[in-house]
Amino acid sequence: MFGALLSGCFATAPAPAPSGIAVLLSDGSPAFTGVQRELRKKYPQPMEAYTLGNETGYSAVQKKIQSAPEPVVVAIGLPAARVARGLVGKKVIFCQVFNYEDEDLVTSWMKGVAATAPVREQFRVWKSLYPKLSRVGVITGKSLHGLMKEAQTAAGEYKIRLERVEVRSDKETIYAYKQLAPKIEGLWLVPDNRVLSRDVIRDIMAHSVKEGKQVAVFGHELLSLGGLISTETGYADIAEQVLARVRQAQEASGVPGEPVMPLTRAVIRINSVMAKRLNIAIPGTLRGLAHAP
Amino acid sequence: MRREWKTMIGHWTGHLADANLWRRLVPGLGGSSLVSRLLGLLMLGAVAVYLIVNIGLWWTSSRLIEDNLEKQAVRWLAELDELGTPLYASQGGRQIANIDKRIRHFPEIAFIRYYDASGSKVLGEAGDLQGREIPPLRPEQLARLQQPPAGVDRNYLVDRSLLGSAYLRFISPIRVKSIRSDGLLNFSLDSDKAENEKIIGYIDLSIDSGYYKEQMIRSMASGSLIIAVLLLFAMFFGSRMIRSALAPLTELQIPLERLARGEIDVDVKLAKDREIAVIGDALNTTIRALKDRDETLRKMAESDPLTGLVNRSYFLRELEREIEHVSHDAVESAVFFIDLDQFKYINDTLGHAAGDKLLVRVAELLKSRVRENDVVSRFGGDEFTVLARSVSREGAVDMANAFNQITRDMRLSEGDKVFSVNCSIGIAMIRPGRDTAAEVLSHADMACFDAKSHGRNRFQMYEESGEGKKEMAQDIGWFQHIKQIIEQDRFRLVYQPIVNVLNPEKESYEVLLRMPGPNGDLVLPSIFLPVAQRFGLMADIDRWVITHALKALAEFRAAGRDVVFSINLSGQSLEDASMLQLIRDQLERNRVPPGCVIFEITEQTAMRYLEKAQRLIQGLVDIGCRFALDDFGTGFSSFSYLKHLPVEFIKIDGSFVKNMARNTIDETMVLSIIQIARSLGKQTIAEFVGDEKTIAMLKASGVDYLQGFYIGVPSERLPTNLRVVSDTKKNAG
Repeated sequence: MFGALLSGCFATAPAPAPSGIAVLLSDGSPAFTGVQRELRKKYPQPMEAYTLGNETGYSAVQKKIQSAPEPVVVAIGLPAARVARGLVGKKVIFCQVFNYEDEDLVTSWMKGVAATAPVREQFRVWKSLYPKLSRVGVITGKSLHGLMKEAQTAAGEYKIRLERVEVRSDKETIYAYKQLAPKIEGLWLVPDNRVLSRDVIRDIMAHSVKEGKQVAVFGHELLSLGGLISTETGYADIAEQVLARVRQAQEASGVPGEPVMPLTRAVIRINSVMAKRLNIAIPGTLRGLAHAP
Repeated sequence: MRREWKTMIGHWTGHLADANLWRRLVPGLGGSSLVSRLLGLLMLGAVAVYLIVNIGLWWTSSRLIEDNLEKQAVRWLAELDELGTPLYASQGGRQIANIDKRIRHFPEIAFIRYYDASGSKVLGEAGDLQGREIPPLRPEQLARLQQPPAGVDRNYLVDRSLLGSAYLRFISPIRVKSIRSDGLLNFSLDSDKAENEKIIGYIDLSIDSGYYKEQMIRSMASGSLIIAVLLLFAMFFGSRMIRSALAPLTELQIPLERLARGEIDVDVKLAKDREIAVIGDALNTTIRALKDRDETLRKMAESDPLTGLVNRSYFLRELEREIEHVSHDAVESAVFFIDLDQFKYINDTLGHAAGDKLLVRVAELLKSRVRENDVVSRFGGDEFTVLARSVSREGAVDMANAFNQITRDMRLSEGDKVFSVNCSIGIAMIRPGRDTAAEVLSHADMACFDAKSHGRNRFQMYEESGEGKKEMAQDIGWFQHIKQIIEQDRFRLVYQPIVNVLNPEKESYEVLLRMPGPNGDLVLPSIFLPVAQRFGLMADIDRWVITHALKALAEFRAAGRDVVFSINLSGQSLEDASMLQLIRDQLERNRVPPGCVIFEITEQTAMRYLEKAQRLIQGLVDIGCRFALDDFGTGFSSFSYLKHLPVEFIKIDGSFVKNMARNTIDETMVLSIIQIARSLGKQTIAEFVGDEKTIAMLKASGVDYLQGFYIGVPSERLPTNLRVVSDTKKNAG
């Protein structure tokens, strides 16, 4: 109800007859099974699914996949991506992995699909909601070059100055945020697990509420802690982008294209309570995104 | 600071232990009164409360301080954790100056150190560390922080050993966390998935606990002072309340002290409080009991329990008062000394109950005949005294007559026997300023003796001068001498032969008594026996004679002499109920045949004590003794009495025998007596035989026995032969 499905404008070429794929799930969590479920819906050819389970069983699963006939493997989640990284002669598409750069997951035969929603769309809605938005801070760990590049581009498009601080721990995150907060109007909370802990997220949200800062969060649950706008991905979008890369890979010797294919749609919610508190009037065009946590 | 605190406690406890201080504070403390003890207990309680409160304050405050310090340290550690973040971001950053500035306003923070993840490298430090040797973190501390023991929730260590416990050192790890790689997908704050955690360093925070303790001591000193003042107020009002509550009890103190001193004229007022009223009531009851007891004791001490009359000591006191009264008011009073005649006989024959009954009755009678202010006392035994106040000599005589009369008229019955009693009364007049109490009593006593010596059942007035007094004094002298001779066993026996006219070889002697006089000469019975008779000593003398004569008889008979003894018995012995048993005992003890003993009683005695004489004579005759009637003829008795007396011998009075040779009347009397005796079957003994002619006349008249100086003089030794008897026989023949 509160969300809106925003479609992108990616064009897809007619695909050759697909063959079967292997799907490797890190575990049975909804973030992974949801994608798998969408893949099954959208991929009519045979699909063999594997779940890693305990770490002790990783090599056994890896051997199974290795010996399986499917040339293309879809790895869902970082553990699965790591295991798939060790396969030989397979083409791998990973998804639901935030920080692929640190793990060195991108090769000529292994590419991925972004785990974050399109930043541009996020900034567009935010700017629409608060036109005076001009300085946004973002605190991340090292790397994340691809995402930051995308973000800088999107920010520039909407005349937003993106202040990035690179930290190494959750402790530095909160410290950095407190240092940064006076200088910015809003914080874009990037889902970098390396520099975030639940305590720090709570502290950031509490500090933001106290200081009257707008925070764009990565999950709608954080709206209840004081987030103004949340942006999430959809399993169907992820599955579509994965299958697009699968098809590319089936037709090529490796996996062609950019290291990570961005998603095309974002699920955005606006915290109407927080907006009111921050004296932000939700424009009519965005009222459909309003959400009262 | 700790030393100062100890000094302060020592100072206070020293004051508290000072007994003089307490005595000054609370007058009466240290005594043994209940109020003092209660006040002392109140004070001890107050001191105990004071100490407990102070100790409790100290303990609680210390705990609170430590607790607060710990909580404060936790807050500081959290703040320092955040403040120190740049140190770990830049590895030795410049932010330490800010931390130093931040803690400058908190003097309790001694120092702060940041260590790296190894715990050995100091990344930065703040606070006043000048001259202090801060020990590094120990491996066991690091291990404990990295791996806290099970059940320990806190994220820090407390080290109290730093610099002599002056500081509390808190060591806390600096941790960083991160969400798992897939944790942000479907992110939930409430997820139970564990986060990645890593220690990147340590904070070492030391807090100077002395700062707080100093503050605490100041607060406690003020608090203690307030508590002490409150306790002093409480003690002051408490002591007043105790004194007020115990006032009814302390009011008992004075009556109790008087009671303890022996005063019983004390009245204890009853208090309103029930408990104390019970004590007062009990005391009053005790006092009443003591008064009753005193009264009883006084009566017992002043009265004779048998008769209820006052006793000797009370009488003497009254007599002394009366002598003073007489001297002062120039009046006359009289003292009567009353001695019951024959009391001993009644007591011995009818028993003590009868004797007591007699005494009670006499007391009642005497009491009934005196005036209310006169005093009658039982002076002892069968002696009574009467103090007649303000009475003339004539009035005293009337009273004495009345006493004699009432005792004469008195009849008492005991069983089937009715008996009466007489009394001898001595009167002594109390004249102003003349005599002491002892002298007056002595005079009355002497007069009483005089009355007895003059035949009893009469009174005698003590005479200050004249023969009477002299004679009385003489008699009393002899009386005392005789008593002494008896007690000292100094009488001597002599034996005068009695010759059987027909069988002169049969030895028979009359046992006669001699007494050593005051100058050592032997005194004849005619001198001392009347005195002994008057003063009632005859029974005692008879006992002495019987005892010693039977012993001597046994010795003579043991020596081969077939001897018969004649022993005289007085009238007083006839009254002595124990005499018969004494004679029996002595005969048996000395193994003397009763037939060898003849008892002589005078005719006058036999007539006077006829009934008693019959009883004793019959008793002795029953065991084999024989009797002689002595001095026969002088009592003008009827010969018919001889029928009633079981006597074997009649001893003709010597006055007839002595002159019969020259006086025909005496001769006729002797012959008549002998004839009558023979006609009654009784033998005759003629005493005072003085010459041959008399012997011849007696023999001719048929007398059976002869006795007299001519026959043989009394001697302490028995004659070895009967020469005189032989001569007599020869002459007679």
